[in-house]
Amino acid sequence: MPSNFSKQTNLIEMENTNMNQVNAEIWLNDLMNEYGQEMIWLAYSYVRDKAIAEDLTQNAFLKCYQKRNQLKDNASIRSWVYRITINGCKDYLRSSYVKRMIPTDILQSIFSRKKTESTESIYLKNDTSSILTENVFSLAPKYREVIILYYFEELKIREIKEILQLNENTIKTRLKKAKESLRKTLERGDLYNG
Amino acid sequence: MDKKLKNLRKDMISSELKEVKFENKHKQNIFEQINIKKRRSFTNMMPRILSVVAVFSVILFLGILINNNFNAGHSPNPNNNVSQSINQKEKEVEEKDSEQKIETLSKEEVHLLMLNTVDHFDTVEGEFRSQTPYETANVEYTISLLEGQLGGNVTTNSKFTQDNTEYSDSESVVFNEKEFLKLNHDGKEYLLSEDAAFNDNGPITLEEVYGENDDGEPVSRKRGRPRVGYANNSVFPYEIATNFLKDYEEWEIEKQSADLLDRKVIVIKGTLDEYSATKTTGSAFKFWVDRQTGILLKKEIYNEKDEVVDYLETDHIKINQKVDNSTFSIEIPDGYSEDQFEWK
Repeated sequence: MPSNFSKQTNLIEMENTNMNQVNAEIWLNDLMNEYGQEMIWLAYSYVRDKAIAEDLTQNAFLKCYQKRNQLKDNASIRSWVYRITINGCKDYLRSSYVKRMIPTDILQSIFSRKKTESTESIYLKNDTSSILTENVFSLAPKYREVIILYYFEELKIREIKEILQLNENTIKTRLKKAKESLRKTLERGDLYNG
Repeated sequence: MDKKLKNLRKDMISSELKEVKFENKHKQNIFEQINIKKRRSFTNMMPRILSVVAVFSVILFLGILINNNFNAGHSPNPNNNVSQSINQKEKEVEEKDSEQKIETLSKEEVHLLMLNTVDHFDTVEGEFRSQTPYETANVEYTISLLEGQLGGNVTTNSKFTQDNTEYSDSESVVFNEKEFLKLNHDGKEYLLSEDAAFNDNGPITLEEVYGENDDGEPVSRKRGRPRVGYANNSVFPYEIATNFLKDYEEWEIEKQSADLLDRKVIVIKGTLDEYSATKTTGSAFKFWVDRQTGILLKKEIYNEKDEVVDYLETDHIKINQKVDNSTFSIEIPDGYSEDQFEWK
């Protein structure tokens, strides 16, 4: 994960210099070098599909590029990139295509699975996904989200607060409930044994 | 529990996320899309430039015409039938244009037209009814793709049955260049997002829709479209075209040109493969596709007895006419609360 904010300063400096086209593309390239891998993992944690995570990550960086002038001077670029990526993932999950699952879309998703199985099913079959990971993915999305941001992305509560625009107590409560749920499931060990 | 979770990152990266990588090809795609946008914004200027040139040409042409008529009226000349000849030529041009309007479209052209409808109109306003084995819906929509006036307003009233109980659902989707609002009228909930603009990633080709990577895995680039809820099924029928028209052996063009709702349509029909037949409870389909835009005006899916089991039918439609932009403004009605995103 991005280990520090060293590049953040450079990125913001570039932002402030009324960047021209070339500078903007260099800025974007730096941004992708810094956060690309992290954002694709983050997107995957929401959608659990490699191809969709790739699309969502690319869209997120395009949005960063389009909205680069809206980045405030004192804002954390890291939180900003996270927020754009997460909003894109949530919008995707909320969209009519996913929520309603109209027949043609069901067809399309199955068509693509017919040819090549989803990353999810491949991992399940190969059993390379650990029990812990599998249990995290089995959490309700709003609980999975905070677990991923806190334990996987190693963000602080105040950063999660800024990204998700939730109050700290809500985040702490969700973390607590998520851990409780994970503990129960892991203790039962019923995921693979039915 | 905390101890286990502290290993979550390591655990996931070594298992589930092992193959999930942000690679150079992703960066290249992004820069490519940025460049497409730049090219398109130049291309968008072209119609304006051309229309200015056209206006000047018409003025010049009329000037010559008036001058010739004037001269003809003042000097009897055996060759004074210039205007007649011009009129004749105009007629011929009109006839030629009219012939071109019904030029034969290949299967590939029809397929691409439906995949890229977003490139073939500026505004659209209409209403359609649809029925699937799962639900019935009535959809009213107004959409503008005009530069600087992007927006839409789509209202859907639907009914569906679950566990032998009938439910009704009413939702509206409103968007403009800045915001996207979804209203669930039954639950009185709203969802507001600043993420309104769509990713105009340029026309797609069939190679991109059905592409494969070096490992033979399908890699598909989707055509960027505004999020218009149910109206997608008719106005941006990307998914329908992708699924139903993939195999050219399974469908044919029945009529190159027919009339429907004062529009010229192309009629295509085909059969469903075993899998999609099971999913739709049908075995054959027929589409009425607007020739100018690729919009799916009518769709029927038939079972073995030739009964319609799934349909979409447009009641009225207006394309490229002035639309009321005021309906694109984002207003949350009184008494609506924010959808808390339980998505379970």
